[in-house]
Amino acid sequence: MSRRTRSSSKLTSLWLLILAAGICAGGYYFLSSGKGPLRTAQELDAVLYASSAGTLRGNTYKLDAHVDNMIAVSPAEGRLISVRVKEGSAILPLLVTKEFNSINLQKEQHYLFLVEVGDKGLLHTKLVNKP
Amino acid sequence: MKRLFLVLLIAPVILCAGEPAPASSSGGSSPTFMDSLGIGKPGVDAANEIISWNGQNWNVSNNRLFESQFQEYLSAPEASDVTIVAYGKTLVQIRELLSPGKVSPQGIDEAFRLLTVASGFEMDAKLSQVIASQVFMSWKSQQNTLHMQAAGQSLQQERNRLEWNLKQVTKSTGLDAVGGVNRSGNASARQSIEGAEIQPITTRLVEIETLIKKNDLNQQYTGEQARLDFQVLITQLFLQRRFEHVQIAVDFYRCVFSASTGQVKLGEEAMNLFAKTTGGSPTLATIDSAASEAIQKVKTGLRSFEVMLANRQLQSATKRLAETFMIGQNLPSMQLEPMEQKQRILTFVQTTNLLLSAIEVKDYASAETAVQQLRTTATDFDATKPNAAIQTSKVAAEMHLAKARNAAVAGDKQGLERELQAAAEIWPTNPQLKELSAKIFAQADVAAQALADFDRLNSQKNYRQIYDDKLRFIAATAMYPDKQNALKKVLDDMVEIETAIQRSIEIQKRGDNAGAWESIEIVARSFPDDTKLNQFRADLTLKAATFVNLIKNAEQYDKDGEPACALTAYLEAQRIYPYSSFAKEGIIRLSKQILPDSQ
Repeated sequence: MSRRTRSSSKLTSLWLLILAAGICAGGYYFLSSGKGPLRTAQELDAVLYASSAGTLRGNTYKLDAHVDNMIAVSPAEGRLISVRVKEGSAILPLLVTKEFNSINLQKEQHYLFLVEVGDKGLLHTKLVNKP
Repeated sequence: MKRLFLVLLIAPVILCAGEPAPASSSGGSSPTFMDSLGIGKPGVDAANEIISWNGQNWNVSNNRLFESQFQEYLSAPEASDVTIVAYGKTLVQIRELLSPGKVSPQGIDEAFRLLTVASGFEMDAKLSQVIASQVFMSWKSQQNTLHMQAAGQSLQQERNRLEWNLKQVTKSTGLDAVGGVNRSGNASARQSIEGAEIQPITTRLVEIETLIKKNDLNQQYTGEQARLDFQVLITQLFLQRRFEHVQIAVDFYRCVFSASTGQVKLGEEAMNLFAKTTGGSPTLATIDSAASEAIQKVKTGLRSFEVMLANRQLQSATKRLAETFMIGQNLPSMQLEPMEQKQRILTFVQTTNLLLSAIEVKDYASAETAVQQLRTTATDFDATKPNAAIQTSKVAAEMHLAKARNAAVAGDKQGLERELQAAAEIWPTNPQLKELSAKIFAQADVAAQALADFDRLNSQKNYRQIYDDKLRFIAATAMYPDKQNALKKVLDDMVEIETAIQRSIEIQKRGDNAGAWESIEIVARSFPDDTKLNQFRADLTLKAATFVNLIKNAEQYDKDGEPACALTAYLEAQRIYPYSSFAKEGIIRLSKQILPDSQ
């Protein structure tokens, strides 16, 4: 084999490696931004919510957070938990509605929540995804 | 005889004798000094030496009049020996000149002259002059009697002459002197003869008879009056305890009146005074002998006094001297007692009087001092009775004071006052009483002020000030249950505050400012007016500002009806201080509010 033939095969392998890395990054982006509403929803401003939750009533937000603690459980309403927001480390109360009772929420687990600000300013889950 | 001396003792009291009164009345019918004052007659208890007069009882040797005279005697310097001896010699000379074996007209005249000499001495008090005057008056009355006897003889001669004339006239006219009838029976002639010659003679005869009777009466009266005056003077001198003058006066009386009668005629009261004591009517002899015995008794008493004084038996010596003084106050031998000896007695008497006064006014401290002094100076002083009185009273007073202390401790105000009053009545000058009273009253003032302060501070809710001065208020409110309860609540609250502060300080030492604030905040909400607590809470608020701010915000959100914000704030606060009870309670409460059916 000639020296020219060994150089072109190395170049082809490099391109394949770059392509695979691009495919991985795109997949990660797709998965991390959720599908559908999660991908399009606005991030919840935790500081604004903490000071004036009532003004955000009726809005839907995306919340990337870790489970902090279980506060209360209502058979009719669901589970009231506290979550620590990924960015800013603020802790917010969150009502995980009963349709998500099947999800085993454990402390420090990372979730993506699609939440709606309820009547009394309380966050209600509309979608729960594990990233 | 003792009773007679007792009469002598009370006589000055009764008569208030000073200088002798002129012997001008018979004494029997004239009113006495007591009668003139409108008071009753004295009664005498010789056994107990007690005089009852005008409804009051006096001890003979313990009355103001006697005491003043006795102390005056004790304070007076002794008389000059030379003077006393000369005076006594004069009196003895008078008595010798008038003695029954030596009496003569010349002797009487010399004795009369010596009376004037004796009256020149100060201690004679002019009594010899009074006797001389009485003797002179008696002599003059006797001279008057001689004149009246001569006049009586003249009158008798005149009566004889008139009777002879009448007899001659009746014979010459033929009238019967008795029947007055003429022998011829001519009545008209009889009447003319009577009118012309007989009637003037008979009238004159009646007049002369009357004059004779009157002259006789005057003679009798003048002699008797002089004798009575002399007797009254003797009695007066006897009652005034001028015994030497009594003897001289009796001697003169016997010379002047030739000892015609020894019976003394006195007024009813004076007669009774002697009769009840001597058992019979007084005579010059009994009075003379009583005077002699009194003089002798004074001499014996003074000897006894000097022996007792030498043995430091001051109590007995004082009694002997007082008794002797009562009898022979005016005798020269009494005046010769040395001043030094009398001063010792005077000091003893004054100390005794001080003791009596101290016991009377219940000054037992002074009484004890006096008793101690008397026991030191007088070996025969009987301290049993005063000591018993003093100790009994002191013990009783101390018992009442002990009860008063107990009452004060128990808060028994009425009992305290009652016991203090009882202690004061028994021993008013008790130093312990003064000390205890001062303490109690001072405490009462402090307590009253403390109560006023407590009421004021309580109304101002200044519990901190009450707590800082709690000892004063605890003592002050001890007797007031309602105030005591109020104080107890204040102190309990303050103990809670102080405990919270201390606990908070300990938490703060661990660097847990949020925990320290929360610890103090819980108490501060119950006691928002305590300045120290507020100050401490303010300091902690600055040190744990974020946590405090979250709790305050949560409370405010909750209050504003925003449970989500409130819950968010509580959760954040709990993240900062996981042990926060405020956050925990808020989270539980809000979760129940959000999920009413939560488990």
